[in-house]
Amino acid sequence: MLYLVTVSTMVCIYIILASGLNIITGYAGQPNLGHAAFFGIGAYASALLTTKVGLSFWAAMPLAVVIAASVGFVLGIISLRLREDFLAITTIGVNFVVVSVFLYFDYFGRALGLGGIPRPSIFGHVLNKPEYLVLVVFLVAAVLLVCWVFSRSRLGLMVSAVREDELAAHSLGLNVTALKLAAFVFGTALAGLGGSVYAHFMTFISPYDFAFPVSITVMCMVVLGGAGTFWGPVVGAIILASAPEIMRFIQQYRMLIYGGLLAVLMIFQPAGLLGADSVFVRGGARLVARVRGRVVQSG
Amino acid sequence: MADRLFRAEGVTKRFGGLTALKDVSIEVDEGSIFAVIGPNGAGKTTLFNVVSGVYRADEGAIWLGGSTLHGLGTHRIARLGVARTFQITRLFKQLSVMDNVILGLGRGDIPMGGLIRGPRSKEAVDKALETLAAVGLEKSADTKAGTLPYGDQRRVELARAMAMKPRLLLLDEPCAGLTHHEAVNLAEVVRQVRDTGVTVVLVEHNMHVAMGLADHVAVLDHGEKIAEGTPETVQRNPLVIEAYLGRGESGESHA
Ligand SMILES: Nc1ncnc2c1ncn2[C@@H]1O[C@H](COP(=O)(O)OP(=O)(O)O)[C@@H](O)[C@H]1O
Ligand SMILES: [Mg+2]
Repeated sequence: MLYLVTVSTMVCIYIILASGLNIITGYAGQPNLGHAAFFGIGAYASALLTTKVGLSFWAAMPLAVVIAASVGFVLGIISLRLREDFLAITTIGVNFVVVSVFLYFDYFGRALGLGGIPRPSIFGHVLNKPEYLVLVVFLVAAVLLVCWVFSRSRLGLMVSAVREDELAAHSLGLNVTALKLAAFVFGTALAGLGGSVYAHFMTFISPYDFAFPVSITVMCMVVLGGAGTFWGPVVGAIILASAPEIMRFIQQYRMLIYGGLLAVLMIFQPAGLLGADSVFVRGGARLVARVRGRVVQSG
Repeated sequence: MADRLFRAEGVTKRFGGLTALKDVSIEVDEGSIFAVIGPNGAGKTTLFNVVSGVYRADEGAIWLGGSTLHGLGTHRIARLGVARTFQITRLFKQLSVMDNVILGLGRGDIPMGGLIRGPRSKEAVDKALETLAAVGLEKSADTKAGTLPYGDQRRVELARAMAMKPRLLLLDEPCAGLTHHEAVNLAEVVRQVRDTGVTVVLVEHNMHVAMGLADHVAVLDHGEKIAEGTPETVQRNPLVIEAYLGRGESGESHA
């Protein structure tokens, strides 16, 4: 039971992370291979604000989001003018730098990490793991609502136009730099939220929780499910975040499997499971059409 | 005499050792169709790229109405009312035809509530359909733009530019790759756009298309303006005949 709660909470956290990365990479088309850095910044910010500053979870969580998004904003201003391949490398670098900072400063607990992070409490009652999961499910619902509104807004359409063709977007009067930056800030804010939720779930965090392989894992989820689709990152997070727990024996080979998966997807199914040219979507559409046809014939 | 809407004065653009535009000046009357013709590599697309802010001119000045365009970024120039199409079509291929055109509306403005509200307000849809009807594509509104045949893609790109309600519309070889029939239709659309008060500058490699449409023609060769005038006078200009025919027949007599 508790095991199921733990896995479900992790799935929720990955849905938040993958949805954020999907805004940056799926909608705006900006490769970000350092998403875990912002996950870590959110987690460390929330942990420090509660353990050292003495704030409650309810104050620390939104602040962690703002801090992660602010770092995203500054890095975005510096790096979003780069060509896409340089941006990918820069974000990898950011991931390593951030982990190093956690590792080398006493304030961040070095390799030992930070412990004693409190679970949130409501009216003096400290939430246990199942109760915390209920809270996390509500947060995921809120995140998905915001992402859904974004994906259907004029802003979301403009951001997609930037992904499709930057020069064309520019020549329609779209402020491409501002749109990329908006997507980057939005996505890193969600990573910060995921970090805060993670820190107060684990109650103990260490630098390697936010290392580069985590960025690859989240990228795998987005690409597997379908970058640039609303449900893609949700499906990808559910599949990959529950699979390694079910198949514990392959744990050591996780990165190998993810790397292989990413390569296979890029070659055979670049749009992901839910993407436009996906065999699943086309097959599903055909199935629906056939069922409809039968209903029409028999009706 | 009509007002000048657009002026380029002494525009020079170099790429390393190559001078793609050499001291080029043109003036375009409001509400007219102005054609820039010239052989391949003459600098026509470069001229558009300089005007629309993709490249910055090394020398010279560019004016739209009373304001200078020199040094402004592409999206700022677009917001002042300069729309363009590309020699090789640049659509948002994964988006629907309707969304492509809707993105042209409002010149990049995010109206109040655009953070939350969808792009398909009734007003926007009506305007987009009206623009699509003008190019004869209203039936393809829900098709993914990248899946249309090439000729239709060119028309979507024109509709997207028209949706900006531009003051100046730059068309880079609008008829390239079209069948004769498609080219004739497109020329008619361009005329209609002009009749709504939009000033059009078009680049054509094909002299006959340009001559049929334009009120005024400038001829570029090796980055220099070698002739200018009405289609009739330009057609008779020996320098123009030389630029177009001299090569290939009498070899590199020019060089
Ligand atoms: N970005 C660039 N870098 C270097 N050279 C360029 C660039 N763009 C155009 N040129 C050169 O400038 C000249 C004019 O090109 P272009 O304006 O495309 O000609 P046109 O459109 O008249 O066929 C050509 O010699 C071309 O190779
Ligand atoms: Mg050209």
